[in-house]
Amino acid sequence: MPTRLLLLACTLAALVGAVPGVAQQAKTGRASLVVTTQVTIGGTKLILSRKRFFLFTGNRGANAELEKRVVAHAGEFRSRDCFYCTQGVSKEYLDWLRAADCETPYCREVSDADLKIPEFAAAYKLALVQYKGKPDIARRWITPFITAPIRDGFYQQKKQLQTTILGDAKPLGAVMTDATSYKATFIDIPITKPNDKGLEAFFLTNAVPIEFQGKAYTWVCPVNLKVGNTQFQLPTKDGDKSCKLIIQELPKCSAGGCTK
Amino acid sequence: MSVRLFVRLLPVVLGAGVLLVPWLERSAAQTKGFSHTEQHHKAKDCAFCHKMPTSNWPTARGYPDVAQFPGHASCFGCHKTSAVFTGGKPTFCLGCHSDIAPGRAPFKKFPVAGRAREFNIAFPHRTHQDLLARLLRRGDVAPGHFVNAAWRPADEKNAVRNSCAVCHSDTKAVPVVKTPPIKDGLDKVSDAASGVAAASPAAGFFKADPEGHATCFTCHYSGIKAPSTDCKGCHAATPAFKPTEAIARYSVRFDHAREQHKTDCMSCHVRIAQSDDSRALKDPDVPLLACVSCHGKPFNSSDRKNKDYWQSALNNEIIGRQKDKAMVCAYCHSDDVGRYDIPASHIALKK
Repeated sequence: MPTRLLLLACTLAALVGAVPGVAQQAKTGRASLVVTTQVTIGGTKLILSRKRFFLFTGNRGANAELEKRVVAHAGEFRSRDCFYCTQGVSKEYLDWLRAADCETPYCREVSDADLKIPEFAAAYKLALVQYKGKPDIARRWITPFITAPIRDGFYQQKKQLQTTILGDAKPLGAVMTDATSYKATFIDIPITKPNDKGLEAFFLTNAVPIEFQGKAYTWVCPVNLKVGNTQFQLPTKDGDKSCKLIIQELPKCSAGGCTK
Repeated sequence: MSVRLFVRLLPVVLGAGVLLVPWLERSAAQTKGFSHTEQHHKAKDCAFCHKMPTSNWPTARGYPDVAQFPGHASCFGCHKTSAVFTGGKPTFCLGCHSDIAPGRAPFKKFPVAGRAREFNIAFPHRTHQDLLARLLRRGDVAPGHFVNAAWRPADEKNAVRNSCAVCHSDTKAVPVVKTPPIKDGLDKVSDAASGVAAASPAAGFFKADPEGHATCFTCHYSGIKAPSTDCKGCHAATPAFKPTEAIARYSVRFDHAREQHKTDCMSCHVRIAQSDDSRALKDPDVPLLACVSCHGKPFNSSDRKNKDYWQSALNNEIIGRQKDKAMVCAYCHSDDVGRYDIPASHIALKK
């Protein structure tokens, strides 16, 4: 009889011990995060199409150095208008970029009418020689003949700033918002060390300021994720959801220079 | 004595060597054919043989491209001319020429249709998202060689907002569809096909991969990396392979042309957008999360005839499987896929 009781006690102890183990196992797995970027700030409804966001593992403390760099370098961002303005591009070229919210001439096809724009006209002339007088190829494959600074200089500048800001921080994911719902969807996020509520700390930021209607926006947000999907809307105020939100007025292009 | 013997044998050995060397070269050329992966070929830079563009591009392609075999200097800079004959026939030459006769030696069409390919392309989608936005594809240039897959040219009106449509347009012909490997150790719930076949796709159902260099060269002809002269910038040598025309689909019922599906590609294709090499993807490019943003809302009482059925598809199928283990999930899948165990990803998203 004591033996039976001992066996029963051992079995119960094993079961009790196993329960937390099962619960712990159930909390690990894969998570997804859908970031909604369609927010209104100061009366401006932000339309953030094709903007990049980064997700890092760890809480705010673990990403303190990254956060410092994001904040410190936010002021170095040069707007599209400002960049091209200081490159001395024609008004027509800048207008062409603005027309479809383009950052570079890779943005859309150059039409026949666009060939009147001085920068495209010069490139087209060179392209015609290279492409043996084939006007259609010369027009469509025109970008190689646009001078490098005004072709991919703005992209390179942003990429350089991004490299500086990220430093040695390796993002778990880098996702762009889509062009219809303006959401950024992170998937396959490993939840390996959840707390007792099943949550694990991550760190979300766009790192490089996002330009929209004359202002630049930078978010730095701690986010807690669990197995399954989490929806997260960007905050509209600094301090909301423990996020840092930096809003900067961007310089305007005027007389070949940039002014605040 | 040994010196005399050596002197006598020396001409014999040298003579045999002279005869043997060309025979070896010829033997390799004939039995294996030309291979880029042969070690001597692999050691050369692409430009050692290939000129970019070749002089025939205006007529062969319509855009600057490698549209012809390399010249004789590329072959005979290394191979002896005597190596071209086997049994009196110039078989070596038939790698490039369709016929060898005095006074004429027409080239085969380059690239040779049906010949095994030796290169894959690596396209980093992640990098390209930053640059592209609204470029439209043009379909009036001849296809080139390396990228063979073809879904269909896009509805160009709707492609305007999608950078993906620069390369991925609607298909004109319905491609052959195959079932990708079923992962996660899932088992079939029934062995026999239940008759739930693939949907009958119409034009616009699938999307195309870019064909040839035309799309790439629009931006990469020169200037930015990788330029058109840097083949290795995009292509990697592989063992010879015959590309399949079949495309792999888990959900053969998703119609890209359907009005409700005309959205930004990035809304659903989220996994590939984070990828540097689509071939390295271990899971479907479109995660189920993208589907349930519209499908799978909790209308469990809907039946198949109900207009709201599509919203409850995921739930209904899972519940149906729970009731009847042999039920085939048919809303999204053909029976090749729909008769497998329901994966954890689906169950996790059931409302």
